[in-house]
Amino acid sequence: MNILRKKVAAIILMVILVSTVFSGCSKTQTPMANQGGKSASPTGSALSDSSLKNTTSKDFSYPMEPITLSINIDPLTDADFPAWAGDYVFWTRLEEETGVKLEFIGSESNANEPSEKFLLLLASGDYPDLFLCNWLDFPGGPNAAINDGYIIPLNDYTEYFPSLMSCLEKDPELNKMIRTDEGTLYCFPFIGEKEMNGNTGAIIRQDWLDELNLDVPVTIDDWYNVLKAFKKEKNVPAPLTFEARWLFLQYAASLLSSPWEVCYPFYLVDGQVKFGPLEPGYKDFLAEMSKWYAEGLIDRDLPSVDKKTVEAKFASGEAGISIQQTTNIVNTLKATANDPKFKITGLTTPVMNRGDEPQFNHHLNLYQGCYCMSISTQCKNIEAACRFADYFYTQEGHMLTSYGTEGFSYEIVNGEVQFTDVIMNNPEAVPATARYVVSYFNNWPIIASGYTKHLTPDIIEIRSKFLANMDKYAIPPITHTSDESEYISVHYNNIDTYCREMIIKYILGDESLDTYDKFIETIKGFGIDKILEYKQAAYERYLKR
Amino acid sequence: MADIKITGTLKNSGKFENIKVKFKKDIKRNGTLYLIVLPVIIYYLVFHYRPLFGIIIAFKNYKPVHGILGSPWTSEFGFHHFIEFFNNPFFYRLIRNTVLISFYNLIFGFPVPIILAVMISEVRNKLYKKTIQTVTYFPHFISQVVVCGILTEFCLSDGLFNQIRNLIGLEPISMLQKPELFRTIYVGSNIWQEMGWNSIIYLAAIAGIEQQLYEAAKLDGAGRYRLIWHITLPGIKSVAIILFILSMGKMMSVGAEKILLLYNEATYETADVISTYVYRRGLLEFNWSFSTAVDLFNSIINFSLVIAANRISRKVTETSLF
Repeated sequence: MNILRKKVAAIILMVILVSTVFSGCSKTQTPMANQGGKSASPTGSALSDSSLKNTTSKDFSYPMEPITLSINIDPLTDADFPAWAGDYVFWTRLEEETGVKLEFIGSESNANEPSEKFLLLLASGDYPDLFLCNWLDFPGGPNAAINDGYIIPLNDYTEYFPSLMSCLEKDPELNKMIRTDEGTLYCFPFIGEKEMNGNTGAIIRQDWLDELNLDVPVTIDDWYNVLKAFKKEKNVPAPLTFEARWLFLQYAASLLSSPWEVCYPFYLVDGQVKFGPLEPGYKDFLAEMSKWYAEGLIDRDLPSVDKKTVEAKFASGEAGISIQQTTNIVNTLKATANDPKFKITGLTTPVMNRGDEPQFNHHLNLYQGCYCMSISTQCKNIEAACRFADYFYTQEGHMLTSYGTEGFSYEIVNGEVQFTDVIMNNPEAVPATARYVVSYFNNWPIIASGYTKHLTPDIIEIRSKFLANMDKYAIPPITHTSDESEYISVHYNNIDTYCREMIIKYILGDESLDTYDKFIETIKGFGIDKILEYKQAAYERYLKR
Repeated sequence: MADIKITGTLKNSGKFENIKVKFKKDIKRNGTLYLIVLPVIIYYLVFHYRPLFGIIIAFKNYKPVHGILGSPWTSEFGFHHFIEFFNNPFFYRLIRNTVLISFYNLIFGFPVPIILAVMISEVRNKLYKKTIQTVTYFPHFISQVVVCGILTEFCLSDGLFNQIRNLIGLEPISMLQKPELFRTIYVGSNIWQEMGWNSIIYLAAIAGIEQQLYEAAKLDGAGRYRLIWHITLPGIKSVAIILFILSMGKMMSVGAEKILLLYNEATYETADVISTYVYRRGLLEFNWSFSTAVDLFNSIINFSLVIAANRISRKVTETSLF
């Protein structure tokens, strides 16, 4: 009896153990419990072509015959369907309006460089119908993506996306931006708007300025005097604080080097591509910054602070000026809402001499290649995919994706879009989050508008100072040939590493600026001249598109 | 008996057949053991040995769309990626930093778990002993990201370490921005995090030493330190040597995660190692072939180090891994 019991127990244990192995393998869930709208659709993959083949642009209207398209976005969770949004969640409304049910297979890519899981998706050979990713930052660019057999060129299917085509016809600059040098159309683009620039900028403690009877600094010398006054009178450990990486990314801290008309890394001056550190003004910029650092005007921990630390330092009064992104400025205002004395103003880009125009600002190209939708070579129903992607360039699609549903999330007041309380005063979500539930305004192939509509007036006021003249200097979305990109990928990494290292060292004072000439020689030895040549060639090809 | 019968009727020398028969007998006797180990062998064959053939992408320009076999070979007889890596202007610096960081980890990190295990084994009070063990191996379970976050906070100009410096009367320094301090911080935090966990295996070895040896030595008049030196340490010698040889096999693979979390532009000089370089390079171009080539280079060096360490150990101490 005992032995039998032991045997039974052993078998049961084994079964439990073995079944835990299988519980680890989970299928990717297809999301979206169909809440309202069209349901009961064949959830297989593409429908037979016959239902759409006979429609011409004139006969076509949304919603289409129900169809499922797969796309590489991470699956939705319950958090994407909060109770307060009910049936007005973006994805639900999208299926209602277009008839397309999206199947999320995961492997989402990053905004810029492709993510590892996305590359695994490409390597697996099993592609979804639609790709949402950035082909400009893909090694070899969009041409490589087409040649390697991931996506199809769209030039032959223009009759299926009339709305996008009419946008392109109206705006030839846009047309130039999104095609390759040879004129191939490869994706449905996400086009930003000007308001997205100037998202990162400098803010200052207005209450301290008032206390010390100082004016808002306009020239770079004003900045120096204000910072000195902050250090002396307010005894703060870090009068100016920001993350070091802004010196190198997205022209975000280019406002600091703007008085010398330089920034890192590449920018245009009169049609010539320049590399910041090679320009004489850059050495002067570094000299000024290292002077500031030596006098204790810049945060001692500059290379190691991160976003949250900068936010905390500014909010707690350890810093007088900081360079932050809009989200962090919003957080700061929220955190200090109870402090009546805490007042901040946005700062314009400093200039060299009083009366000069501010030049540089945080800048993102209108078309960066990110969040673009392309059709994969394994899509079985290209027409449906095109129609689906084209929806977002129609008026209805644009309004739904940017603002949500009229009457629920926004109203039209005097011809202007105004968000309702559901977005602006939602007890369960901040405006930005709420907006993301009913719409998908920022990371989707549309021509963006109203990016700042959910921001409060005080933030809009602060941000209004951030924009300057960067359009003059920024490099447009150029593409490289495969030889060029190979050379650049091999050599630019070393140049970037070395420059970042040396620039930080110069600012910290660990390296004297007397060695600057040797520094230039070294990066020339790494091949910066050839890279500048290639960038110039790519720029000229872009102009000719 | 069965042996004689079979050898008598065979044509060849029978040596081969002897082994076959021994094998058959072995299976009959230990059949279940073989069955238990079979899935493990299959696992290693399928997931570790079969993928080894993929190493040829180090000599090709691998593109997923062509597959492994279809991708083109690189120039310079397939060694293009290796040559590119060796010609990198930072090559010497990367190797130097990788070797130095591993070396410091080994030199300073290796004795600490042993000393800790010996000390713990000397403690009489059971409760105290258990508490110390738990406290010391607790940090092993904290994730790398959390540890690095805490460390970064402590190293700030107004962080804990600098506050202590203030108390002693020293000037505060931004510790994570000084290249010369990076290795100390890295190795020091490694030791703190791993010493408890690594001491477990030594404690097990110490527990396996015969108590009679201790009693005999005490009778001969040995004090505590003599006991440790002559009995405890030699008792765990073989375990220590095996672990040492194994850690030689990791010399070139200083992991990227912790360094990525702790380094910044100011400390590239001493913190940039091979894996962080490959990580950055990967961000720009996703060249599977290149990172495979670098990894292959690392593995060859690691492998030779293990073989060398093993041979030396066999000659000097007669203990060896294989």
